[in-house]
Amino acid sequence: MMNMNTSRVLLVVAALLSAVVLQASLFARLGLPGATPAVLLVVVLVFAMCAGPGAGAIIGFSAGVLVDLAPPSAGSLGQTAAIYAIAGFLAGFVELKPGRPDVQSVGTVAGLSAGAVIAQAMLASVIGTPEVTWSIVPLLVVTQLLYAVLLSLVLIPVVGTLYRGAADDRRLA
Amino acid sequence: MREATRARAVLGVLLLVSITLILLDVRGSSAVGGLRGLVSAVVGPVETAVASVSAPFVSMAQSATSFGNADERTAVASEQLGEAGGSAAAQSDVIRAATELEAMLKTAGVGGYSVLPARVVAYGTAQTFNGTVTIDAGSGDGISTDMSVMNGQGLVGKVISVGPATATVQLATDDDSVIGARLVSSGDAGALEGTGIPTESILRLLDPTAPVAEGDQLVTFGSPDGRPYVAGLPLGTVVGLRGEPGQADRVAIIEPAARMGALDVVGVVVTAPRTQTRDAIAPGALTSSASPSASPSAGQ
Repeated sequence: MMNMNTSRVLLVVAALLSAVVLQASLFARLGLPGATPAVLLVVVLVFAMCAGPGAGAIIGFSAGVLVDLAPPSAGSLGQTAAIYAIAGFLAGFVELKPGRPDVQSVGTVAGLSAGAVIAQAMLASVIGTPEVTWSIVPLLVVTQLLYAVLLSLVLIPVVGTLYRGAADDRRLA
Repeated sequence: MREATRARAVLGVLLLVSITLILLDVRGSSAVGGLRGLVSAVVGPVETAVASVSAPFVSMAQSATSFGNADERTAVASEQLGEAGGSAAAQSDVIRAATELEAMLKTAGVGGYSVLPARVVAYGTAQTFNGTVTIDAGSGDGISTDMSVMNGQGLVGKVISVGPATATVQLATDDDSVIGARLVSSGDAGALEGTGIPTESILRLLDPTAPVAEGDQLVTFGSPDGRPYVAGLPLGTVVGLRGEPGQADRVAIIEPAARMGALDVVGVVVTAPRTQTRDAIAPGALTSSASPSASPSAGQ
């Protein structure tokens, strides 16, 4: 939590905003089977693995608030925020090593992404909005697991490198 | 270890804040509504921009993942254009959008509705169970909540929230959606309930003994002043029946008229017709207008 400087905060904000828009305007429109690839959650988890559990929880919460408020969301505010905060917190205990994505980091991203689908369905059915279609939940979990593996293979190197690079800006300037 | 303790405290606080926000929102706090408006004012236009840049790519992916008339037309169009690379995809996307617009205006013309054309720029994520889409027209274009949204095939849904330049539409197939419906053949009324599955809705007829058969067409019953739903728009076709006549839980399985998985050009009904034109868009009128009208020979 202590290693967040201004450029890293800016990087996180920019990455979260881009991920929210890409998820709703590109990935959700592709009509892929099952779940919508959770670009935003994968970005959150990679940041969390770089920054630790405290910062991970904060980044997850912020991302969740953003996606709860951005159109076309119709669920209640705070619903995704709570789940993404927990996911970011848990991912923070896994340390992301520089270099190629390893089994540990990809497994963390995929496992937490699939777990988030179940948590989201459970929380929504407790709150009552939006109505949960339980019959499609198994398909959502399986497809999200697959999409998260694919996304993490791309996003772990990209986001990880950007995050580490953002620390050195003072030396470069 | 100290960091883990501090992180747990941070998480605890964030979860408390989340629960507070959920409660505020469920109780309909105006502050949350204001925040939603603010975010949609910022994020909405960006979604519109991203959607327009990625349109050719998205329509190619949609035709690869689903089937239907529009896709066949797109395939024919891109074949006839016969150009490799992005420009052919972009041109066929323009032709497809024009075809969809033409079909939508034709349907609106038959029903006598005044419509404002718009394009779908974002979809709700499947895993949050939001059967909603964002369209690129908002309060600045004269759109307000509870307006009907349609396309060339039939009813798409209703506007549930409006930002300055974008609006959110609840699809007719959303799990929370219930729409008054009428069978074209017999005139029997019922309620069309979304299931959260884009290809399947459920019809509960008011009269459980009413005759209903596979292939029967369904149109909107219509609300007073046409809000949230105008009368006479195609809703779908009966594709299956569950339960025996007379049973209280007897339902018909409906295949929605509009393909909710691949929406692009839609029309927001800003003014319903002055005189009620119930069943005006009976399937007869539609089958003639739905014939393939794309002959993109002038594309080159």
